[in-house]
Amino acid sequence: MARVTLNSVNKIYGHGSKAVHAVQNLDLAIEDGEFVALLGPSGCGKTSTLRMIVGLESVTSGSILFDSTDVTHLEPQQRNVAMAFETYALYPNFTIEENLAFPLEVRGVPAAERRRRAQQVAELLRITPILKEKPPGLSGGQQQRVSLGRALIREPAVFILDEVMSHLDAHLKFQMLFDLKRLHRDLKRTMIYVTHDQVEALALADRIAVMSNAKLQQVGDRATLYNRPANAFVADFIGEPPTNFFKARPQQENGSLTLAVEESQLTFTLTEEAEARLGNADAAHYTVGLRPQNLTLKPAGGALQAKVAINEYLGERSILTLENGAARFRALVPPGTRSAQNDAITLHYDPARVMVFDAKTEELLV
Amino acid sequence: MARLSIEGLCKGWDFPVIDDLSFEVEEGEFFVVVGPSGIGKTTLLRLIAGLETADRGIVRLGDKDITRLPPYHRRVAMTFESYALYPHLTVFENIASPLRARKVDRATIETRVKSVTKLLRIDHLLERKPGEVSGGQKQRTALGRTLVADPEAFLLDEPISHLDAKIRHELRMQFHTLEDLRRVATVYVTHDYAEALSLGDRIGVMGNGGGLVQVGTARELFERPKALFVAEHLGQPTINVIPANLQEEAGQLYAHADGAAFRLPLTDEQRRRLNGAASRRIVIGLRPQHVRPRDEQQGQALEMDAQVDIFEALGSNGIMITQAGGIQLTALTDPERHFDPGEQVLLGIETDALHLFDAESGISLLEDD
Repeated sequence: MARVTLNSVNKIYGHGSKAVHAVQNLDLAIEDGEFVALLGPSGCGKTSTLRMIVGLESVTSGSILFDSTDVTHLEPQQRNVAMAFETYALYPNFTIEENLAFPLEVRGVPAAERRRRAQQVAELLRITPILKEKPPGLSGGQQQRVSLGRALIREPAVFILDEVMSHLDAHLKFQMLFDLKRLHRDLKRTMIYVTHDQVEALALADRIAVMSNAKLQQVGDRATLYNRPANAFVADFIGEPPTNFFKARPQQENGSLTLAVEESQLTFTLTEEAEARLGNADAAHYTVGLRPQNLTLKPAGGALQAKVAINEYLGERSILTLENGAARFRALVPPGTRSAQNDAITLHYDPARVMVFDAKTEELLV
Repeated sequence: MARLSIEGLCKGWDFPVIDDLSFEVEEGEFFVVVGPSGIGKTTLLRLIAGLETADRGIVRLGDKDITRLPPYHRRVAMTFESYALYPHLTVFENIASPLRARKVDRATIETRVKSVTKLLRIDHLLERKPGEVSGGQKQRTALGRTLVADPEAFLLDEPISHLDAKIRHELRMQFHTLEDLRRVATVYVTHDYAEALSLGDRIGVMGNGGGLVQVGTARELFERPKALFVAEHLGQPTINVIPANLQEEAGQLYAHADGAAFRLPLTDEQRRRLNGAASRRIVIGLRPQHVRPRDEQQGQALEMDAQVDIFEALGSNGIMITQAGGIQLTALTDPERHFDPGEQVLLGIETDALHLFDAESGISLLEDD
């Protein structure tokens, strides 16, 4: 087991005018036994980061430590890290047991010990019944499990999972999420999970490192990213359906500071604390963010009047798409909501849930 | 403009893929076919488009039998899961291609392409090539090419499945609002049940037998599934499936889980619908959304002690796997709460929302046909 530390890590591909700065000054500490997700859209630098941790990619500048050992220039096989990939890459002619034991065989571990460890890993991943079968007959979920098992069997200090669920069907994915969570609970091993899917990241990880444009945007647990996103990018990227954003300008209304949404009749009321903060800021415009989950049909402090554009019934929930002037936003409501197109409706929100961002830098103000 | 009807369609290679499949799509209706991958949904579209030949059955557009017509005489337009754009042509030329093939005059092509791309918000990309635009934009280009064709039926094959969540939301919105799509018969195929529920005026659930297991509105399918297959395929987390039998005790009928203490009393209404089907082997279907921590519920529910096995806060819900009365039960919670493994929790089960299926056939015992 190991604590993984990245100190000002940079990765630059190419030279001169063609140089691409893929990872910029990344500082990140992953505790021993922690489950951390590296999350971001494609091209954000997460895969380069992962490859540097594993040792498949050289580090342009900065250092990577496993506990107190500097591994920056060590070969992958000297690092005691194992990785499972999106593609399973199983040997089709080997049984599952042979596939699992293969990394041990390469290392010259005796047959009896190999069998014992394969049994152990199979139990952990609940694939004991298929040990004697061969990969071609198995489902995607089972093959992915075998692939995880093969990475685990070496008992690495750091276990890295690269987009391991991206091509599983929704139902299988769901099962896998719970299995991975259990696995981490049982193994208590340092795990780094790389994904572009925020639902997976939020569900699995103790902490999530959000990357965009080669930079780390924020590291935090689910509640922090959800309720206190560092900037509009994080607010937009985390959460489904995406956060509603409004362009608004401050105004005085009955002695209180409120935010009036441009080209619509919507106005946001703020908490006293937020009023005090923005009162000193004195900007002409702000970006307001409010999550669809935080709009309710029950009275709660602030209110938004709107017309229903679309009511999407989704079984467990419904999504209302609402309009007021040029403003368009979504609310997550119970599936029993029967509002139809063009109905007038009032949505409520808790002013403490209103996020206000600087209109230019997009950083969270309140 | 015309209604599309499929009558007794069959297609097989080594084994039947489409077997005696029938449905009708009204003019202006948006019909979604949903089912697991590999079940034959694409084959169905290809049969309607004329890219495959049916072994048996009839495809009718309006009054016309088009089963044996070649694809280009069918007046149907299809988008493909893989977009299938010409890489060397610009977005404009890709969209114009069906019109060019039909020798439409230049001015009309210009007007049609401009209006469609404006609608799809890709009018700023007309001179780019497919390699220079994002996945969502490629998908909209493919959709634009289908829309300009001005067909009598649209066939859409998983058009948004491969895009990320944000773009999916946006395109779903466009499918709701595109009037061209809402004017003719549209068949939309997907494996994603949320997409199906969101978009379909009516939805057909395709099952392993090569036919449609149930056809209905989103609410009918989700709230009144006629088969276990439908209940299991729609919804996330998956519906709790509990093998059980019916038992009567002191005048009260119970659904009693196999080999466990877990049992649910049935309402008089459920009893009436069962219509005397006592003591047979059944399967209880109980949606996680109808099992919640008791303190989050209003109204009536059966209270039951449970132990938390694992808890996840997942998007708009918390998901809790529990042990209750000797069985595993998945419940939904408020996403802002937290539960630890091993914690005791009082659950409320909304028994009036449960489903009962025959253990053998998987057919619903409560939804009469």
